[in-house]
Amino acid sequence: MSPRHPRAGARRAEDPASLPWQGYAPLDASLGYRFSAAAGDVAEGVRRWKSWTYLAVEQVKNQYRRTVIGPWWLTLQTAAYVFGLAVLFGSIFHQPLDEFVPYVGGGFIGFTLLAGLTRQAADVFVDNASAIASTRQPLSFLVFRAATVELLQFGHNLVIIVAFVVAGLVPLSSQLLLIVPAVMIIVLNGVTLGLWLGPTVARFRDVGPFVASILQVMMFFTPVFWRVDELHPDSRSALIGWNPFAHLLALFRDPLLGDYPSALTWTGVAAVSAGNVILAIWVFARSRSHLPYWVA
Amino acid sequence: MPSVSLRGVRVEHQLLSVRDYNLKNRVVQTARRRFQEPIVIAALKAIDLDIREGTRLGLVGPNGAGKSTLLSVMAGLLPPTHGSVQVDGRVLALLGSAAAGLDQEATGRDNIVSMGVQLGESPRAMRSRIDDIADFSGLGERILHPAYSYSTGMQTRLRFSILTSLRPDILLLDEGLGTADAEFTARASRRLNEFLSSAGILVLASHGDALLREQCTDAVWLDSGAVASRGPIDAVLTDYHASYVTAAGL
Repeated sequence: MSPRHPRAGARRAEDPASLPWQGYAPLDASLGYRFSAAAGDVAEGVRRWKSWTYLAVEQVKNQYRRTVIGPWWLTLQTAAYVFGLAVLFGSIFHQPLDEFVPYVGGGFIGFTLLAGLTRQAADVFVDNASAIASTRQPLSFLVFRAATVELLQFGHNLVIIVAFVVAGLVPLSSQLLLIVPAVMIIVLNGVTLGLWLGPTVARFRDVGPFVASILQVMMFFTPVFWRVDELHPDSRSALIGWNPFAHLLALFRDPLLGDYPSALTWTGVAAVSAGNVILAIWVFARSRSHLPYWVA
Repeated sequence: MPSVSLRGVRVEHQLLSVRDYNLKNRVVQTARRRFQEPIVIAALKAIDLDIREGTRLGLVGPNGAGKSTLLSVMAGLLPPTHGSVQVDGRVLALLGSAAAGLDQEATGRDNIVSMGVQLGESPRAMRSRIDDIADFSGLGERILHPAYSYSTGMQTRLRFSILTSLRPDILLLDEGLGTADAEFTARASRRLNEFLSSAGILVLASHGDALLREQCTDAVWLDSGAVASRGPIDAVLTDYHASYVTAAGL
């Protein structure tokens, strides 16, 4: 449709400084037009980074507005979980606590981020149905905001890692610096996941509960509180090789334990990221104009 | 100059049933190349509509005639299934429920900033406007309280005050002021007059004749998703009311 009537659905920019953000592509637009409209959506979403950062901070504050210690409840909850899991599974697996506490701590905090990003990615458009119906904004904006909320909650949990470093449980090494790119890669995966899983959940409503139940099971199938080398070698590739959570978790946790991520981890992370990016481009461009109908 | 132009705009909702939401069925159907088309509801049927600068247009018609859908299309919130929409100027729309866009846990002041930010303003620009907007809303001390403590009318007043402070060229209202009190409606009218004198466009969907006659000069009567008539507000309202009186044999 774009070569035939490219002005369809076009709007003047709202202010002179803004990029040519076109709003929704017409539903009968050509694929090329839809891809360029989707790219414009993401560009405008990125340009508004101050706005979604602000709104994400407000959202976290509002979630806990009627509590005294606010988002630190999450940190306390995580600390209690880590301590409980480490003591319980440490004694079951006969692990020395000073090694097992940072292993479980990094594992649990990393997995909480992965699970939170996955959950928000699935629900982002369904949860924002009222905003989509009442406020004209780039749809990617909603994805960025939701991912930032998860990142903020993860930031509170990082205090536990800092406590481990202070207590000498996590070695102060140059490998620790790798956590920064690791978290960036994980968040990028969360955002691209939102751009394709979000529309999928909005269209096929069985996928949401499916994702939620898979996440609970993945907690046990991902090496959060057990070690990969305890697995029988035959089952390793089945459980670890095909598990995207295992690769992304190792990317975050290995540096905490003073190790560099393995070649298998890097390969797995590259494959997962490439898959998410390709699906994000394909699904988001094709589904964007349908989303207001699907969540109506 | 602000203007709105719709050409052959159709909006068709697919009424998706459990069967259509089911991914497994969808995959099986795709594999067998046998699609069961979902039920389609035509909300708007080939609407052609031009709205020039300075127009105050009322939208009338029975429930389900497509008034809200038409406003959503003009607001850029719903892409039409067919046809083209050309809008010049900044559109802002007061659509949805009274609470739409407000964070219920946040105070009125915080909502002023976050609602403006969602509409593309910077947090800093919105912070500098808080006092003006709070004054206009007339919420007084209540602006410091969380939005869940507001009545429907108060939420409407707050949203209207925020939207109009952003200087839209085109303002779309869906029963916008229906829940606000007389004092606020009078002040809102003055603000609308102010912005319309700068060639703005107002489109107001309402079932209240008094409000329509007060705010609008022209009207479009929508019936079953099509334009039944367009003209001066009084003539259109007379035709509209006559239509169902005749139909009912009254």
